[in-house]
Amino acid sequence: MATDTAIHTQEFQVNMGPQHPSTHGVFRMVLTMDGERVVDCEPHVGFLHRSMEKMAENRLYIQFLPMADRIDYLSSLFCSVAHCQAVEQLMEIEVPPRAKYLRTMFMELNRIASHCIFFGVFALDLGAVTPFLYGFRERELTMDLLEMTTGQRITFNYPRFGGVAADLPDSFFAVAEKFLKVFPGRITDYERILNENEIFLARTKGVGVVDGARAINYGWSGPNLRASGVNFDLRQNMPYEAYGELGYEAVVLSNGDCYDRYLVRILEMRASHALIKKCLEGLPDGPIVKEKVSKFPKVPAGEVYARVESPRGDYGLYLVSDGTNKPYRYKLRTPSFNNLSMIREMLPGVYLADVVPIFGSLDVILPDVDR
Amino acid sequence: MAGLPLDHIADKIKDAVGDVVVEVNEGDRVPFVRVEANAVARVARFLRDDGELAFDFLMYITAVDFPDEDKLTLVYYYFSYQNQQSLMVKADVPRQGGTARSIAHIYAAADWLEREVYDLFGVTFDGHPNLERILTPEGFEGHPLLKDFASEDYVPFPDKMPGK
Amino acid sequence: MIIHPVLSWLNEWWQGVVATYGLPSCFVPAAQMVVHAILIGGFIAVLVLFLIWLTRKVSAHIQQRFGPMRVGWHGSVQTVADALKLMQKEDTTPRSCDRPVFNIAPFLAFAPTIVAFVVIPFGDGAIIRDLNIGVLFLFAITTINVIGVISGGWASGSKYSLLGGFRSAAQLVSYEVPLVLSALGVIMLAGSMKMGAIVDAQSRIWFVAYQPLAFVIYIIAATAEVNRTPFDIPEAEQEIVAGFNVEYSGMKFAMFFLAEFANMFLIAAIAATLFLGGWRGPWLPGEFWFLAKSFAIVLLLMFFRWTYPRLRVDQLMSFAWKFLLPLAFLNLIITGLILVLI
Repeated sequence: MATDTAIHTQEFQVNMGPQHPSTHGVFRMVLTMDGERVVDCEPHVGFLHRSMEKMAENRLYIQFLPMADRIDYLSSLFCSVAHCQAVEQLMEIEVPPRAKYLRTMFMELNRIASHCIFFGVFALDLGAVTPFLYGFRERELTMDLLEMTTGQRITFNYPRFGGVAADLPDSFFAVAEKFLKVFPGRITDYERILNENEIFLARTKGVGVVDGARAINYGWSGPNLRASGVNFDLRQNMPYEAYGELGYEAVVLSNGDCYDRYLVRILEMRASHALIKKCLEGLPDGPIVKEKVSKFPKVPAGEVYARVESPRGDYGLYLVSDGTNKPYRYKLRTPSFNNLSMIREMLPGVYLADVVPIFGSLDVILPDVDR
Repeated sequence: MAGLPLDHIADKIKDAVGDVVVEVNEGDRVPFVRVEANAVARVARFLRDDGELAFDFLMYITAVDFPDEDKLTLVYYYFSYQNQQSLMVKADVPRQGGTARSIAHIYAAADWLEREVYDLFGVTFDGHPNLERILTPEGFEGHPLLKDFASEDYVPFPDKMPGK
Repeated sequence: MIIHPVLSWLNEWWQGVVATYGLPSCFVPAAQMVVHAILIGGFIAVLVLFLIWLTRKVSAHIQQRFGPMRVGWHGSVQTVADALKLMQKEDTTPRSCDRPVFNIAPFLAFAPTIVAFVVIPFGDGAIIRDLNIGVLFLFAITTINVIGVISGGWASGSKYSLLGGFRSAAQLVSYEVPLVLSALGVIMLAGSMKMGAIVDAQSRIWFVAYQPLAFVIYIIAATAEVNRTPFDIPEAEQEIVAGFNVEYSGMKFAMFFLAEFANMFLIAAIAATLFLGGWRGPWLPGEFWFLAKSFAIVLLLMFFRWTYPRLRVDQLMSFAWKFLLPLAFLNLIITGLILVLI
């Protein structure tokens, strides 16, 4: 048969993003497709690059504190706590225990808020609209609690050098009690709507499998890494703030597919719930901020690496100080950046429909990638 | 810090890679080993493959600009899940036309991280599969995290601030 | 019981007018057709407005929201306002599109839906043409709208809509087979393809009692046929944005939208007629029973829509060909055996 009369198939390119409903912001992938299958993927990031690191170098430490919240707006508390930790370590400030507990508790609340969004958005990525609203419903509860204390709902600007900005209001405990009471039931709701849903399982089990060694090699961290069977959680292995006293056991699953990455986060919500309960029970009395800490500190020269376990993974801040009141070098190690870098290798060979859950299961957030 | 003593790590590097260690600094908070810039990739491979050290996790690569000393310090921060220990490796390169061996074939994470350092500091990495700008837009000129970076659009933050 | 007397009164009145003024006799069927067309058109318009409102309300209550509340009682005229807005919208045409095909595709998608309503028995005698090949006509005509969908997807000149069109074509062709096979069991029982005869055959017991498997297959295949979740792959927002209609706006988009919702009702109406005894029911007029049964199925489809995630395209295909189709054949064989043996 002559080849020129045969019907040829042709690969074509689909430009997914930066404006696309399921790229979670402004991520762009140029997908080379063979029909419904992805042949090649070329990711482009940087659409949200604000040069946070340069901004930090040009601001006083206190001025950058509210900016730090904007690095990862879904888990903003972690960014500003890391900022404070770095400064405190350089200045050798010991944070009062009550402040440590408050930071820990609100970080866990923030983690729940972030994971709730993940739950909703991940289900939405698979075409189920209802869980999205469920996720936001519970996020609202955590936001309420955070708002009562910090006055903000998204970017809290709560920690201060040597403590936190505000103590709990009296009305807080009743509301927190209520939240702690209803929340486990709501997680059960989540599990019932998705965990045993045949279609959900068919779409997520065995999709986007990454083993532990490959995940480590790509610098994965956080829930994604734990879903691949690596037992490492900063809260467990290198405790900071009040985690050492509270004790924490990491949630580890082994399959490394989209389903496990989803399940890790659901289970972590339960773990966070338990931590908040422990925090409230063991909340020590005392000052909430170390006295005589300047709001506009001149930070002693030196370098430090502050590391916190954000909902997205191992969030780090490498701070080089030259003894002035501005950072000399402010390097952000954002987990989403490394988590996303594998997308190029994960996508070829999958169906177009799987691109979305694979990308969604990484739970990256673009301001965290682009900084 | 828990884990292996820094001197031991430095000695092992010397044994395996050769006399490339310039400085071993216990430091206050972040102990580091400074190596020669041309040995970065060899050190990385050794750190990852050595059974005892097993620094399998590359947390980040970055650089710090020291215009007064006319050098850029490349910073590689490794972590070992086996020993629960982190290690910082530094290497000095010149500010203009600084170059180092790429470690993207050793740590896959380095692919994007090296692109970022190239983008923001202008350090080139030999042997990198796709060394392009990653964060700044296409056609951007200059490397914004250098201390003397100047752009028409760049308005410095006002100096008159409380606490000054 | 409501529509039939009204229609025959109208018919007699018009025949009287024609006779009195000595108009040509061909005016009688012509006027009848016009009346029927207006009735179907009006019915579909009102129905779709209501269905959209219902979808919003059902989805809202499943998701613990209120849904539209401002315009009218519980937002009941919200969709009217939205329809007015949609009509005023600019009709954009992408530069890279195939203009004639792009313009005609929405009508190609919508027209078969109207035509299909011709053989739906709304009540006792309230059927426009009780064709003796009614069921065959229905399935034949509803399949045509895939041409509108695929040509719309192709002509838009966008890769997303092209993918949507292809997916739609593949899906409709696959699910048409189990759909028709599941209806065949009913036809075997009724011994006729006439819609009226099928309803009559269920005067004692609904066919769903004889054909439960076929009913389930029909509901699944029908959900896929009208692109509802979990089979809404042709218009998956998360993957291909909105599929074949991504480039459409204004009234052309409204046409696709109308077709989609009218199709949903149509599929439910067919289910009610084939399996649930059509308009038959005690005490109340047949039209009521017909609508009640149809809306029950519509609600079922809506519950699917707001509960399930979406299947992947390959899973969808293998489900149709490897599972649903053998099951439909099995059902057919069993039905045949029982009919022969008894």
